[in-house]
Amino acid sequence: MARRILLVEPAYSNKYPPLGLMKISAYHKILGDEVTFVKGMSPSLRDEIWDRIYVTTLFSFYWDITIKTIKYYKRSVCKTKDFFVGGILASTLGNDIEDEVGIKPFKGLLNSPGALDGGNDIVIDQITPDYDILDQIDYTYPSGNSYIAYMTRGCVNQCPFCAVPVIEPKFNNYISITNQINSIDALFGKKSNLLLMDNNVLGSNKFNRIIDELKDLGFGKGASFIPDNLFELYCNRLRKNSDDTIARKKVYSILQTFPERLKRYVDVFGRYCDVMSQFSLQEESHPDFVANVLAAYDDLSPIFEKYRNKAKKQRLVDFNQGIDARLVNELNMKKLAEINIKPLRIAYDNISLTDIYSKAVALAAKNGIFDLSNYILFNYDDNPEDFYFRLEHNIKLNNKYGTRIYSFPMKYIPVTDKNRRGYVGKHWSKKYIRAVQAIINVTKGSVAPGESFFYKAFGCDVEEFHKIMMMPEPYIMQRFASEEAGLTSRWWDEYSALEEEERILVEDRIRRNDFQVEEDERQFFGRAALSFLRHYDRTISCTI
Amino acid sequence: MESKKPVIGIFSLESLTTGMYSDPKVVYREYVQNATDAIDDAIDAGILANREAGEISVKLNSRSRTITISDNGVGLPQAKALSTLYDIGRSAKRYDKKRGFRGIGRLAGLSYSEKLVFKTSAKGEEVATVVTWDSKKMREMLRPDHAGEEDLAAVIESIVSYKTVPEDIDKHYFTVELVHVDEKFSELLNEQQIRLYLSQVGPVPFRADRFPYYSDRHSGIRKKMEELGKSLEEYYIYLNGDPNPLYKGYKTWITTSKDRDDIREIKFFEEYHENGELFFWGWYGMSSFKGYVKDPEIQGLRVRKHNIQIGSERTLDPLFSQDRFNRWFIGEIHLYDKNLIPNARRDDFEPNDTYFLFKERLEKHTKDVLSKIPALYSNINSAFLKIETSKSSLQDIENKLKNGVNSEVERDNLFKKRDQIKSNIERGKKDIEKSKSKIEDKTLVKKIAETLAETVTLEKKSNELENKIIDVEFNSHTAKALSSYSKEIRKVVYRIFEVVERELEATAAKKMQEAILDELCKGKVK
Repeated sequence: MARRILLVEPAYSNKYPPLGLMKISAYHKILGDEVTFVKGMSPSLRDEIWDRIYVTTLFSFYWDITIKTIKYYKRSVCKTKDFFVGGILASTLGNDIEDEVGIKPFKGLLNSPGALDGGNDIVIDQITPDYDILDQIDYTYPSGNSYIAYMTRGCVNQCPFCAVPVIEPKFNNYISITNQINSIDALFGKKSNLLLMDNNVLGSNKFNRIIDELKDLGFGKGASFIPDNLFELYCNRLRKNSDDTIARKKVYSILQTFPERLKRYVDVFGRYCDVMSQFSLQEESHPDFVANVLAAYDDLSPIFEKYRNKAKKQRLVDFNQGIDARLVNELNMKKLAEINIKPLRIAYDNISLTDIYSKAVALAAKNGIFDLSNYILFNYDDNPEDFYFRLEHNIKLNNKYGTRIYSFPMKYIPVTDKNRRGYVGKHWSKKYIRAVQAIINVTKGSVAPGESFFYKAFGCDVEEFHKIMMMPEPYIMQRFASEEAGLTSRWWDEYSALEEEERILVEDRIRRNDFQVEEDERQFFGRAALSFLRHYDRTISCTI
Repeated sequence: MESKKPVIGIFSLESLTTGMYSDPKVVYREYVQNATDAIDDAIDAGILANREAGEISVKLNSRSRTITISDNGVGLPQAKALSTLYDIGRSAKRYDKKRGFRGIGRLAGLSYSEKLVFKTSAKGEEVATVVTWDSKKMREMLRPDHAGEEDLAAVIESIVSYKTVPEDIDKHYFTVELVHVDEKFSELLNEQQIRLYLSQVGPVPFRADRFPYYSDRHSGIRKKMEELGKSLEEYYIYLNGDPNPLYKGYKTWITTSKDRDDIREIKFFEEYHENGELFFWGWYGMSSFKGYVKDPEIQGLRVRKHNIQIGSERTLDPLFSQDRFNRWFIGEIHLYDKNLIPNARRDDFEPNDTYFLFKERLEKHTKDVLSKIPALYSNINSAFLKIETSKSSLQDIENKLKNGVNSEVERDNLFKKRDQIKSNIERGKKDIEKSKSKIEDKTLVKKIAETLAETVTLEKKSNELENKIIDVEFNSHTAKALSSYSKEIRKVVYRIFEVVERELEATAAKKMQEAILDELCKGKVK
């Protein structure tokens, strides 16, 4: 008897679809089970009893919503042994989860045969993920239309700030993805981009083989592709299985949206509409919808083939977790440049890596890779001056090599920190962290390669950088407006006029981002200091 | 008989007749105060060795309705006795030193009895002076419809009589007798009530054996007073011939509104004037604050001047953030400022500048420290209770599970019960965490740590129980067949099955149920 399986992803907003659940879905479908995927909490699904429920987890800062979701569904299984919790958090904070919800999470990867059931030796991690489940929910993953894969697992390094050694303790240096990609193409249609989640691909001694496989898969330099005829694809699926509800839903949506492309061809549009009404294809709920589609196939197919979008599209590869600058050399960079990589992400986590990092950038440019992206870890054991230096260094590299490096400052949060509890690194302060975030929020988290933006946003030198960090938040975010209104200069003049002692007190407050001076503390602050702190009062708008 | 014109004092006679005090028992305080003054004077004069040698005796005779209060103090020599006991409102006492500062106090008994008889003798004199006030007659003469004397002095003259009688030359004493106490004031003759009253108000000693916080050599009240350079001002009052004197009611255990509780330690506070002189000091008992203190003789923080209580256990109520918080404490505040003067009714102080300063300084303790303690402890105690109850409630579920669960409704109820317990544990834990840092008491700190550790176990257990409830076996065949239906529908089906079982014989019922399940499994009806 087919089992009823419920897959759950808590309702956090994430960018990438839940690859693990997609594979578990594929696994259960192979076994003939019935799979339902849900994002978040659904009262009607909870109300049913499931043969199995799988809840995936992500980062520790989604702790509350994750725990709540697990508790929400916990009672909808017949036996607690049929309730599974997996994913990143399950590996990093498994014991905490168990204490909280009374379910022992599954730690690590599903990369051994028969990991979930006896009686089969399927390796779930190697199954083609089931993209269909993404159509069961309303949420759209920003990267939902990419291939997502790993060609290596684990990492050769053991960095103390990183969760990878906990989640994927063993380094696996080559996993072929060709079969996966081919079956994705066959089942769901070609995707344009390939997201590779490898933690440290350069650590693999099969690196060349990996690159060659990617080239064979159509991701060589300058790669492009023509999107598949999805009408064809889903009709084929319906032909094989008329109960394929996802294929049915997809075909219906294609039929609904396709006339957009026919607007300029009045005749064809008329013919299309005729076929639609002749075969009663306007309502998906029509009892014979699938049969009618297949009956109309011969009439519709030529129209789709001729008028569908056949424009060539760029095909990009993204080693999403970045490459390790320490492992870059002439040879592997040259090899890397053989695929259509954009952007190339290189980590610049520590100022001590400056030379190594610069060399890697130089090599990338030399091999024709100019679109670079860069994770800049901060709030760890770095200090704010380091941070400024690294950002500025990227600007300088851009000038030198003609590269376009986007910097992504990454705030360090301990792996075990639940719900972003405001960890502050030893050389950082609450105000500085907020200030950095205020600046990069404007550009959705990145620092663009341009020189003028950078020096305006972060200051011309370290001294000015500190000044900006200390600035009231509204003055940072609305820099020009507050400068024009004279607020910024008034703020600075008042600060400069403070006595040494007052300045120490005031700076302490700013660093703590705590501007509320209680009645009994007032005696320690001079009048000038108190009036200066009013700049930080959130009720004062800088548009005045 | 020597003619002597009585002098009218500062108070009108009328006030004497209607009663000066809101509480008639205050009359005892007045006479006891006078007695302590007389004992002190006797010590000063070398007649008594020390306060232990002083004796104040209070006798109640309910048959003759007489109250007798006497002391073996200095007594009044014949020459002074008459003027002292005749005049109203003119006292020789200076108000800063002595306890009873208004001569009026001596006449307090007038309002409550038919006759007030003073008898006194000083050492070295062979006579005792007896002065009698006929209060019954006085009340009659003062009635508005009474025609006759208009002159108050003349009125008094006609109601006061005196005589001298022979007395032993060595005797020294002062006795006041309230003869024929009015029916309205029968409580004055109730021994139990007067014992309670005097043990609270009177300047009586602590009982060291019942309240070791008094005598503790390192941190006791006596030691504290030594450090502050203050004398004890304790006097021995004997009631109705009881050979044991009266003591303050303080003891190490208390009855609270909730449960019996113990005084675990006492705390002190003190306030000084700007010139460094001690303004007042106080002590209060720390218990587990299970509820407010119910023992009437010790409930509430009380004010004492010269070790005599001013006002009642309610007097300091307004100095707490909520009136009711005072009742959660036991304790005393001893005042030393000569400008703090009890009012004429003796239920509070004269509202002068010193009094307002006193209030302000005392509120620092009562409002800012003490008022916060009951809420803090009450939170902690109710958290303890929550967790304690959770333990047994979890056991209840465990037992139910052992006996078997037979329906989805039963299971739902267990879930609900478990969730309630879980949230109680969580709330209890949160409350304890919140107040934890404010608790100093060592026993309690230990209990907090133990309880917090226990919550971890209990939370784990509640999760295990949840799992057991999920895993419970009943009608598994039916449950599985209905799994894709909502809970509401499942409940309806179970009810239909009950009807089937009731109406059909067993085999037929079983067959019918199977048929229904088969049908329902075929396709989900919405």
